[in-house]
Amino acid sequence: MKHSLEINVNGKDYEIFVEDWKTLLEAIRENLGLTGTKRGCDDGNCGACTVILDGKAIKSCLLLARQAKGRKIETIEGLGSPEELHPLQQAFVDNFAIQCGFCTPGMIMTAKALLDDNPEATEEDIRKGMHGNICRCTGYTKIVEAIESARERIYKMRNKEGSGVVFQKKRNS
Amino acid sequence: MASIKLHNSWPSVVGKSIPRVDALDKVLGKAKFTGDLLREFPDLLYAKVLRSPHAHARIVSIDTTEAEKVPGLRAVVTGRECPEKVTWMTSRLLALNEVIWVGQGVVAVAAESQEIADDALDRIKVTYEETPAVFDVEKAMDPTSPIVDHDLGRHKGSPLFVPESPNITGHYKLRTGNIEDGFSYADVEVTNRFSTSRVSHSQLEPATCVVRAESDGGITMWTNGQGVYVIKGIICELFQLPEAKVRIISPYQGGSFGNRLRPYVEPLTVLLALKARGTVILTYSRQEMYLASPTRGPVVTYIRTGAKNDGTIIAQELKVIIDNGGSCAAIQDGRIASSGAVCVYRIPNFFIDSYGVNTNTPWSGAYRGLGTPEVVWAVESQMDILSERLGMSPVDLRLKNVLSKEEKNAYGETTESIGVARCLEMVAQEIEIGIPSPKEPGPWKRGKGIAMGGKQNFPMGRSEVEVLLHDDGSIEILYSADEQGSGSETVMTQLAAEEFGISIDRVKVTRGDTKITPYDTFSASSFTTYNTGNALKLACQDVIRKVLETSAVKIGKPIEMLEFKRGRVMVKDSPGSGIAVTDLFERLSMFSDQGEGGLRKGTPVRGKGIFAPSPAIAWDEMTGRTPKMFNWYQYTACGIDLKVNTETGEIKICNAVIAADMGFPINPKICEGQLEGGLCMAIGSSILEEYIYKNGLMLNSSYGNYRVPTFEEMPFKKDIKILFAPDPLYDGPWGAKGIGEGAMIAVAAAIGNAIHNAIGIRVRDLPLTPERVLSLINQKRNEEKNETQFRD
Amino acid sequence: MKFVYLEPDSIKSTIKLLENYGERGKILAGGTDLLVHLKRRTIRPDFVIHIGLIKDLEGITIGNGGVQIGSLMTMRMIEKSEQLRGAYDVLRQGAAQVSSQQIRNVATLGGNLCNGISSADSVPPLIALDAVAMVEGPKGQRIIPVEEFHIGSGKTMLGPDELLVGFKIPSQPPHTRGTYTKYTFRGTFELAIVGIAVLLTLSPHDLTCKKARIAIGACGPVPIRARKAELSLIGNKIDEHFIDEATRIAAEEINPNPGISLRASASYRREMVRVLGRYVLKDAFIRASKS
Repeated sequence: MKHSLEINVNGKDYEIFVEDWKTLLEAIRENLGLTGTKRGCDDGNCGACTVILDGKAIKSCLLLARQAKGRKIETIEGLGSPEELHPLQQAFVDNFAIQCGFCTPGMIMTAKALLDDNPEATEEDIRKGMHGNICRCTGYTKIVEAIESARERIYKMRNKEGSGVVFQKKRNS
Repeated sequence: MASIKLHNSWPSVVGKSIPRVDALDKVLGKAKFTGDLLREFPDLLYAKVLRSPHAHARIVSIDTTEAEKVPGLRAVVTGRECPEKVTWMTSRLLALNEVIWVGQGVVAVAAESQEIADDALDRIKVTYEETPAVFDVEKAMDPTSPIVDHDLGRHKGSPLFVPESPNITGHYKLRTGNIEDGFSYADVEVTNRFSTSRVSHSQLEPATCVVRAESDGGITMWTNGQGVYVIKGIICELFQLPEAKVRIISPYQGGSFGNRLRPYVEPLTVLLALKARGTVILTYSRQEMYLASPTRGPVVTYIRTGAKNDGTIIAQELKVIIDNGGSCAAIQDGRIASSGAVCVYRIPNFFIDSYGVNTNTPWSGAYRGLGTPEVVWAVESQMDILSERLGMSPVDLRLKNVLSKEEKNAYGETTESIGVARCLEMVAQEIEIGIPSPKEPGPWKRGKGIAMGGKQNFPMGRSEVEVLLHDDGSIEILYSADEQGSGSETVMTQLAAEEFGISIDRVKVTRGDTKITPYDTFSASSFTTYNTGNALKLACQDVIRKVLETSAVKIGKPIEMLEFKRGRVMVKDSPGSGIAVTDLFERLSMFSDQGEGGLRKGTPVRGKGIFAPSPAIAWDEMTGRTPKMFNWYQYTACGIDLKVNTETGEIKICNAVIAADMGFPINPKICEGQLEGGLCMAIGSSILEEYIYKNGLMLNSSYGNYRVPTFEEMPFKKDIKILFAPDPLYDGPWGAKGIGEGAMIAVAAAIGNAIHNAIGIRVRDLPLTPERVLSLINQKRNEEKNETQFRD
Repeated sequence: MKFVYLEPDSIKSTIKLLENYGERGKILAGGTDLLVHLKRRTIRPDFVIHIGLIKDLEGITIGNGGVQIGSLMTMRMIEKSEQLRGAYDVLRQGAAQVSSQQIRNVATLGGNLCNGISSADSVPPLIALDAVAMVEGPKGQRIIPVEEFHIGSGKTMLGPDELLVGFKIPSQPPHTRGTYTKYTFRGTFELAIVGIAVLLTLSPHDLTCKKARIAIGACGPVPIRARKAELSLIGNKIDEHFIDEATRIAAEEINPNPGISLRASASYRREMVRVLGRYVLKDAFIRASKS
């Protein structure tokens, strides 16, 4: 039997109807149609299901949807738009850090949480912080390059603007 | 075969690292994979499969009566309901009389929810009678071993299949020269046995297939399987469905590396959808990916090599045994795997016996490299062993024996494009082989190693591409090869933009829909750039020819005087002349001829290109020789600088270099990405990945326990170097070959050779886990201690 | 998986539910272990009781008698805690080595213990710190030393009607410091092949060892204290010789499963207890001698 559940995703409030046993991953994908977050393994290893919950990266396949009641969830869909990519999204494009793309949303969300927490993350910090995300295509090198490049750009933007982060308009061309 | 002329001009888009055309959708989370299409299917039914808990057992009875009573259950199928026809491409949908590996599917259901499907499976009673199983591939070759698959004779195997023993599915023989004569002239002879373990592709997206049974008796399928037309052909044949009513669609695919080459979820999903008369989705769990999707079978290689004191190799004997697991797929006789030993060196007397052998372990299929990395592991380790015996540098020994262009290899093929020597030189220089790395403190010992190798290209596949030139000059490409991550959509975009001289954002790809896009085989064996790329070029040239024909009439000049350049039809050697292509399309008007003749707005110019590699020539049954076994070879060399912890056996890669010959890099950054990714995958299968069994059950069936490399197992980015040493292929698009598998070839042997350089121990069995390495170190310590004691 | 989700708002109401449902109910804290079991269907409760909102299960309080830690504290909270310094730092090290960032953000200290597997990274540090688990049930409260909490692989002393509410770590003698290190083939991502916590109390005058705790996880059905190894250190100035001795003894005190193992064989684990033990012991000694 489905029961009502109120969650906040990408800044919007939703009321959805889910069975008690549905995971947050299933609720995001099936109830809200936000299929950017992926199921790669369903047992908390690959990290393709990573979303940000109250500012922290978590694996949404390991959380029941009901555990997310009243909490703020951010998914890849809330991160940027084609006209205004988040620096991480732009960096992944520019640095060829994407091949099949299945791990990409999870990688970007984990990287975002990592850089929000540690804006000066070194390559060692990055590899450690991204340890819970598996990629089988890239061998990780270009993903590290992308995250470092985003780190630089975010740092420059923060220092230039003072406070807050302003995304510059960028297009994939 | 159509011949493609290499352009005389320098490319402006091809050869550049333009951003991937699918990158934006992928970073926005908008790119649709098969499982993302859920909302398009109301009343979706969920399929689940009940699997064998036994490695080998007779199926005594299957009782589904209780399951069928579960409300919401819409279909139940067993082996009896599956199509009779079984081929090497499909194997069995479900077991029929016996189960032959732990994880093989026995009963499948489709239900209105996943919970109902689970409930139904819980209520199915299967009675088994366990029978003897064989897990060791060499034991399985023995005629007295338990027969793994009693139905083996029902399958169509290799055309040269000779059943020497019930579990041997194929035996390829190469007989070049006179082997015993060869060895009699050798000054030095070395014999070794090498092995590799079972490995899983572990690509991130699990197998997923959705099939909608249509009211006209046909089906529509969305799948992440490879080759929409290959799948279509198999489905139509298996289920006797009319081709006109079957549509197969390929959304983005989350990696494959060969895992999806055989359609292993599609037929079963079709069966359930037809039975339930609804829309069914079958998704494998991660555990099922390990247990029930094709794997890379273990390979045992016996190699005996003879050389003269000056380093000339004069004789080699190879016995290659490939473990098919519970069902062979793609590799049945070891011919492809053993080709890794043939395409690099000049060996006048060369005998190969390669076998595919069934065992009661998870089934094998195509895996990046198609068996060549496993054999090159043996060959390139042997080269270093030989170089040590001869007192030669490992680089010199290889360069002395490497084939040159125009030379014949042991098959009898004339070597065409072979950039491997250059690759080796680049790698040896970059890693500074011969110069020891600085010593490490404590238990770590540094060492360096190099290796090189080649991987064949399957001369299979017919690619058809359609190109549409719209009235505004924009280009649409229709093709059916796959996009598993290797970047085919981007490469096709670049090739078309180059042909027409237009900006890449004026080119759009539509891919992988049998209703819309023309025939292609699948993306495999690194041949998409070559096959589909060549077909694309032909299609573009077809469009251009048609445009020039129309222009000739309009301008009033013969075709030979016209050329197509950057959206204009120009008169040759007459700058400023000509007509914009867009102006060639006339508006429909009731005052002019709206029918035949000329171009009209709204109707694009359609061109088609068909390309297939020139056919292979069947090899002689007795000698295994032929002047054309394969098409072309991609080559790489690898250099590894690593350290070994003599207390724990751990291996840490400090520096890695790969040099690759891909003919011509259409998109250098994409090539680089493939090589970095392949390096990581090869490191994984060399030092980390294996199946751990108990009575045939794989115990470590998750990313947590099956050791795919993570961020922390790869060297830092400054310590990885990718180098290009392209040797253009005369008939590749812009000279390009493929490189998807290249990185896999030589890494394991480079690691093995580096370990020997570090601690003086020759390793022979992969993976080189810390536990395995430590036991070899301890063994050596004990041997040295005993020697000392003996001497004392 | 199919069950009813319940969300009590107090310890009392949780225990009432456990009393009612017993084995048919399972406690959900973070969920990083429970959800894996539920999905694999190795356990099939009718009720899943989410305790994540119960404030009384949170918090770290430092008093004279030691530290009290709520069972809902996540690994990340413990890793980042400014309060768990000095001797308690060994627990921070354990929490920091659990899996990956995403798991640490959700996994709880209580869950790590109640999951009952011997490779849990927070458990050897808790054992080394002589921590006790505070448990509440219908019959009232009781204290279970963490060392005794695991009774077999996947089995704990927690009754079906009991709730783990928190941990008490007694105050440690001055000049006590420790190290926890986990050894795997793939960083912290994997479960430990060997996890060793060493906590040493040294005499400030001559650095002789006054008290030693060596707790080893992943080398048997339950994590253990290597008591004989500990004894070998007492009263001695820890040098290479004593380190070798202690690790040799510790390697014999463990009881790894001799059968097929997912991660490493019994003999390899024994050898790694010696190898890793040396580094951990040395590191703990350096930390303690600096304190």
